This record gives sequence, C-alpha cells and structure tokens, in this order.
Amino acid sequence: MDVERIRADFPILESIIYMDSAATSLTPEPVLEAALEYYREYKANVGRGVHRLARITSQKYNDAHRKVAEFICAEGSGLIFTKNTTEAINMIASGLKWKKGDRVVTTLVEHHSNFLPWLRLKEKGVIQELDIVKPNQEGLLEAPDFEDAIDDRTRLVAVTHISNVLGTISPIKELSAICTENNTLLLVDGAQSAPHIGIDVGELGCDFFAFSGHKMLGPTGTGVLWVKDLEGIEPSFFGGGMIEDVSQDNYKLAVGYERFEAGTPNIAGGIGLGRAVDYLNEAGMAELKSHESKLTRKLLEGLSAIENVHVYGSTNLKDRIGVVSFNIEGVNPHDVALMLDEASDIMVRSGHHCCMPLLKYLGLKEGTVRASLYLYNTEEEVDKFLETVEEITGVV
Amino acid sequence: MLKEVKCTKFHDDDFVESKHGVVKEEPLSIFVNGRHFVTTMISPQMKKEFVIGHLFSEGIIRDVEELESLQIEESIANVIISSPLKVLTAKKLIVSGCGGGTSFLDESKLPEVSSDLKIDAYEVFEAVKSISGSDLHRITGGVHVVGLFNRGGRICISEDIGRHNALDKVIGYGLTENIDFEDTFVACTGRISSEMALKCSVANIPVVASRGATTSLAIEIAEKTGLCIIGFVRGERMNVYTNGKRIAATMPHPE
Repeated sequence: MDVERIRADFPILESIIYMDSAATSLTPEPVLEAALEYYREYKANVGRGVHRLARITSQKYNDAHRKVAEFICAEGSGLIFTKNTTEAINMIASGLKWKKGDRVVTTLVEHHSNFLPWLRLKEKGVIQELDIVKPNQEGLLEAPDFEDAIDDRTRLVAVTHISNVLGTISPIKELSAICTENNTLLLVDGAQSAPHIGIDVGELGCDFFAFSGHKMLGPTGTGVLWVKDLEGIEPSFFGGGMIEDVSQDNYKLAVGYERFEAGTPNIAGGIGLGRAVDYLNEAGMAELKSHESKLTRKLLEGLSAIENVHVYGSTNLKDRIGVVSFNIEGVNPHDVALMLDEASDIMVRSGHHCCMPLLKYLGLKEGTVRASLYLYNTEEEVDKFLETVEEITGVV
Repeated sequence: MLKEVKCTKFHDDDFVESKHGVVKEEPLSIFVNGRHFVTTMISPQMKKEFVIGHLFSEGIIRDVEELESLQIEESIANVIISSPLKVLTAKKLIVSGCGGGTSFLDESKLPEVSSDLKIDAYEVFEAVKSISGSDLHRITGGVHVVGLFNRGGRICISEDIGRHNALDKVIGYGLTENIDFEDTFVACTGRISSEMALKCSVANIPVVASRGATTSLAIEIAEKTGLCIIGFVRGERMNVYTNGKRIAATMPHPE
C-alpha cells in the first residue's frame, strides 16, 4: 500500500491532519469522479426504464450492490443500500416480526444508533425487556456475560463489532455460537469494523450486519444492511420500485434487495460506494489493517507516555483498532479538540460520541477526545499529534 | 447444448416416426452502454466468453480491463465499457458471417500479427484431430468446433452453431485467462473465411488450421496481416496457403 500515492487522492490532506475518520472518512477523487460521472454523463432512475441511460444506471447500481456484497463476503441477494447504519438498524427494529414476550440483549458499549431503537421498542411495549451487557474494566465485552443475559425469550442480540469510543473489538464469533445455541438472532453493528478490518459475514456468523458507506471512503448518505434471510424481515417503507405487482387490493413484493429500497434511492451515493469498495480493495484490506495497527501502536504508546493524559480502553493491539479515546486532566475534551485544530490543524472528535450510556458508566461526564485513524494517516501526522497534545498539557 | 426432437425419418420407402438430437440455438442480444449493439444466434454455453471475445474482435474493447461490467440475463447481455457514452459508429464491413451479418472490422486498417511462433506439422495434425472427435459434433452434425492451443497442448475448446461464434468464445476465454495469443494457434472444423482470418489477426493468433477449405479473401487478408492459414488438414496431409514459415515439416509423430 503506497500511502503517498493514496494521499494524492485526498487533496485536503495538504492543509490538515484528519483524525476523525470514525465520524466520517474523507472521500478520494475516484469516488467523487464516479458520483459526478453519474450526474454528468448518464443520470437516470434505476429500475424498469428501458432507455439507454436507465440501462446504464441500473447496471451500475446493481454492480455497486454486488461489489459491496463481495466486500463483506456475502452471498445471495440480501444486501440493501440504506442512508446510514442508523437507518439499517431501525429497519431491523421495525421489520422483525416481534412476538409477545420477546426480549433483546444489547450492550452498554453501543452507539446510540444500536441502543435507541431497542429502548424505544421497550418503551412502546413491542419487546418485553432490554437486557444490557456491561464491558469489563478495559472496555471489552466478554462472551460469558452474554450467556448470562440470554434466555429462551431472547429474540435478538444487537451488538457492536467495534466500539466507536474505545476502538475495542467484540468477540462476535463466540457470541454467534452462543446465539446459535439459544436460537437467537444476532445483529452486528459494523460501522467501525467494515472500513478497517476485512469482513466475512459467514465467518462472523451473524444474521444482520449494518455499516456505513461514508465511513469507508463513500459519499455521505450511504449505508448498508446485510440480511441473511430477506424473508425474515418486513420492509419498513412502501412505495415505488419495491414491488412485482400491485392491484386495487393487493401487492406482491419484489424478490431481491429492491423490496427494501422503496422510492428513488441514493443512486450517485451507491455507485460512489461501489467505487470506494474498489478503492479499498486496490489498497488491500490486509495492508490497510497493518498500516493502521502500526500507527495505533505509536499513538497509544505516545499518549500513555505523556503526563496527565488518560487513555481509555484496552491497550492490547489485538483487542482494538485505531479509534483512541483520551482526556487531558483538568481540560474539557472540546477545548482539547479546539486547541488541536488551532495549533496544528488536527481534526479530532470530542464529547460523548453518541455513546452517552457508556460514558456515564465510565464516569466521564464531559466525554473524551477521540483520535481515529485511516489508511491516509502517516507516522509524521501521529508525531505531530503527540507533540501538540504534549504542548497542550504543558500550557494547562 | 443438445435437444432431443421428434422427426419423421424416410427409411426403406416409408416414413417412420423417430427422434433425433439437434443442437440448441438461441438469440443473444448484446447491449453496450445501454444501446443495442448486436443480436446473434448462438449455442447457449460460454456466453460470457462469447460476449468478451466478440466485443474484442469487433474492436469495441481492446482488453478485459475496458470491460467495466458484464451482466447476462438469459438472452440479454448488458455490457458497460469504460467510457459510458462511447458512440458505436465504427465503419461497417459486410462479411460472410453465417450468424453475425455485420462486422465492425475495418479492412483498410488491418492488424499485423506479431509472433515468433513456429510449430511442427504433427502439432497441427494432433490439434485438428482432437477437435474432430466431439460427441455433440458426432450426434447432431450441427456444430462447429474451435480449439485454442499452444505448444503445451489444448487451452480451450468451444462448440457453437457458428464458426465465428466458436472462435469468439475461445478468444474470450483467452482474454479472461490472460493468455498470450502470440504463442497460440487455432484449429477449427469449418471453412476459414475472411472473418475467421480477421478475428485471428485482430487477436494476434499467428496460425489457423482447419479440416475445411479457405477463401480467396481470407488468403488476401492473411498475406497482409502475417497470419498462417492451413486448410484441408486430413490424416497426415495439409495445404499451407500463407506464411508457411511458421510450420516446420517435422515428422513423424513423437509417439
């Protein structure tokens, strides 16, 4: 993986250091070109049109689905384009055929997008109980805790693959075995994993996998829901493009992903996401992972060595990725983020990271500063970041 | 590939109800960048190879990299090539294709075969012999067989109702498998027409050999492009019409 060549596709990196990819990644030129090419050269709606542009658009949009499916090693037709991970998870919450007495197990590590949909189901009385598994002191979820939480009324376990605050990796394969044993569905929130580690949904053993295109070099407004069994959930939206046949008092749903993509989808975004997947494949997910791992080590070691800096979550590289939360003692995380930008043009996230239950549990009322890395970051940038953090601790 | 059909056979001064195997023939419409490019009648196997080979021999793509997308659904092949709105207005040349009809090859811009390949006469005999024993060919009497070979032996064999289709299929196979055509030669069952000669020349295949005859135009083309045409390969005889330097008289057979 040639990082310098890759950086040339992100001209904005000439003037800033971007360490907020966990919120949304930057977008490389080829992805922008693919989206623009759609608008400029062949814009049409997808579906049943027969003219030339409609044919090109439909084929490119289908290809994008196929590419993204291959990216997560998914077979069959269960790959649906959504607006984002949030929409994908909500589609499961409203699309599963819930039964009286159903329970859901989730965790305290979840992003709000994999927490609120379940909390609301409980509030509405759709599910009877929401059982919440807590992480250990290092922020890691442990499989045996799920065994305790799951019982024969548990319909679904909804868990993040990687924490968006701590970067810690959940034991999905072990969890999958527990779910299979208990005849429970498993939903994995892959928003932080799909962009950074190679995904094989078959190997993970989940029933639903949701992630965001915009965190993996794709345009905003792109997300993905993979469903093992399309018949297992009902569409949440009804209208154009999702049916085989409609009469005055009946309708028949389309066979493939189309039934979950009612109305004109984000066509340019989808095609752009397909190109983003090509881009990641060209870079090589294995190389990307080892590049990020090298930078993460440097970042963790550097931060831990600075006085008055507290790093959260496991420091063991095999348990985590380059999403690193920390605080400087006595300084509000938002102020740290502002200073990093002012002093060194470094962009990081600060605050509660849409993960309030976890931060409350960890006793971090003001939240954390979060630096997150991607394929375009360099060792020099990490050095610059560490230098600036050290300077800030000196000033305050 | 094979379909059993009813037929009435005339036998011993009488008609007898009977059955016979016929080769399948189906239309395949190729759409390039959303536009109808051609509809051909083909035998329904190796469709993907056929589309790739056909687009290549017609000069629409120069390599598989230019093929951005190919989706085949029954009788329709949708193709997207790199430039989404590339207009297909190449000069049309009418050739004697028995299924195709038109070809976009421009005779005034003939390619030049660039290859150092030299093969032995017995390799030609072996290749032609090996494509003549096809079951389908024997049962139906209705298919052409084309084989792509190199000095190591057989690379790919295809069967089709049309010689040109069968040749496009092996060329398509070679392209997808990244075969270097300059080291290969083709053996086929039917007449080596001008279009067969053109397709081989475009693909940079230096030798084409057949059990059948060739034509005056095929020879003219082969003389200009450097292709070696060999006809009437039967037993241990053959007629070399052009570029005989590529064939050594080496005999006998090594076995």
